[in-house]
Amino acid sequence: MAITGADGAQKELHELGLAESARLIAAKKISPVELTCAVLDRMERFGERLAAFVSVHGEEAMQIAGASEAMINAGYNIGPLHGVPVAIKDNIALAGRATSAGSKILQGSVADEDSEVVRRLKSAGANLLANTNMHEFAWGATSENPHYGSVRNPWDLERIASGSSGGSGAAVAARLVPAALGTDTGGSIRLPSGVNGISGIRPTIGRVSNRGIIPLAWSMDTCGPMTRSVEDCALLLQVIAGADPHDPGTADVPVADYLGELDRGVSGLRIGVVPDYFFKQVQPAVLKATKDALEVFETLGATVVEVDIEDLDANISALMTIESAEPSAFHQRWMRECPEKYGENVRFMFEQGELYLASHYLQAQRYRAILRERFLDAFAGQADLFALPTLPFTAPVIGTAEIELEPGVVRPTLEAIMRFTGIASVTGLPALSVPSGFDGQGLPIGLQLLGRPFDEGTLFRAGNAFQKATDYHLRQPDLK
Amino acid sequence: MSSKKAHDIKNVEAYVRNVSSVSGLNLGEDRLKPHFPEFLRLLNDVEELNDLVTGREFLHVGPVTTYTHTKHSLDKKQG
Repeated sequence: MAITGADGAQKELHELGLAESARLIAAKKISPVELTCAVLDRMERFGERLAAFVSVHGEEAMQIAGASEAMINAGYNIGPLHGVPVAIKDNIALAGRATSAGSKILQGSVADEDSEVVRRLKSAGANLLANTNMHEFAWGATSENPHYGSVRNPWDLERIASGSSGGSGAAVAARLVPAALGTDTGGSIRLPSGVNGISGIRPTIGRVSNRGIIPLAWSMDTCGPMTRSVEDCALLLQVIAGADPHDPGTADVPVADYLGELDRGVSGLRIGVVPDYFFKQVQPAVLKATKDALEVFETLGATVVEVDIEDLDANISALMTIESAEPSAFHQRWMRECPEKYGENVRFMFEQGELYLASHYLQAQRYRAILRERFLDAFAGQADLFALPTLPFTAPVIGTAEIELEPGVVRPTLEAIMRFTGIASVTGLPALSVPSGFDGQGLPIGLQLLGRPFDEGTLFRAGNAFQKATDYHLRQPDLK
Repeated sequence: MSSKKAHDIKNVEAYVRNVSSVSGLNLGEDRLKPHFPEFLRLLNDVEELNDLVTGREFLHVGPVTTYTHTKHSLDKKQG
């Protein structure tokens, strides 16, 4: 069934984005049942090939769609996502459903209550129809999962969908589902957004509740939206953002009207770059796309300013130390009782995390305070946001263990891939990834916009302005 | 004055073996071996970070507070 989208283009139902679907349902131009059917059909056709899902709740999803349709026909609209299908990463608790974090250890572990983000999605009317595949326990950036299959990049099935929210990234990019939730510790929302050609935001630490989400590293974990456009991203964050009285990790900071401010443009905004770090150890195609994006912003009325932030290189070591030590604390008991149940890759990482000294961990936490202060100083006087690549390269082939970032500089894939995402993770600042081009092999490139604490609205403004001036976010992988 | 030092593989091997034993991980030889070169590399990176953070100009800087999360259903599984 084809429908005329907001942009005037003819689209199949599965091609509709989140906001577009919600508007069409509210206007009774499409039915929640037809939309859910189309999405489930698409998931059945391509979900297994991409290894995008751990579980699909088709029967229940159709019942919910029927109820949504009956309500909308009777004049009841529950909220801004009424009747719209949304998927969640498999580490986010959905009451009555197994929530395994992509692991064997928690396989079949049924959540007895909803996570706070799921509660808010349900209250907004969303139909939560699947749990997406991920890197086991979120400790990795490739989503090569030994228990549920390696998630495939829909632009090239031999390549990674990155991670750890790889299933969410692949599913949204392949038009299997309009939107999904991911979680981000060292880059796990932004990396799969970047390599799959979608939009995704890591919100400010404390902006979104983590209650009911299986942790990786408590002091850096965040949950956020992964969508096809910045508008959809803003809509989804609007629903899940805000203080949770039952999660002391959330901050009681008012949530702005993201959608209301979306079209304010970038005129007058100062976009900071740190050339010595942002433009080094980057593949040429990614560097070109980043500089081209800066030119687009200048054309739209923003000013690009060079800013000096010292000691940025150390963010990777700090990130690795914290992201190793904290998960190893969470997994300490299981690592002694049933280590054989872990996949080899994460088992090695959890062993490694126990090797760090307490002083190493604390020095890394002190570095976070130092780096955050430097960015806050820059935000106070020099820049309104920063622009940098999401990751230094496009999606590598599955199984790639090391990456050459520049001649003679070879790093393990995990560290290389987090070269630019680590900054927001250690500072706790919000960062939005948007598609910014394609390389010579047709693989998506991501641009990251980094903002002030709790100022996700400015990132959405800038990202939306960029998407109105470009069409990278509209391109689709060809899955036949 | 810089406190930075480069570690040597023999010391790291001994350290990893001892941590494995004292912590109760009790890794077998096949599991221990891959950790030696990898942790040596990470440790040298950590020394760079330590050298930076322990500089006199940062004596006043404390660690970022780690957030506490509420209990949820998985606690039952964690035991």
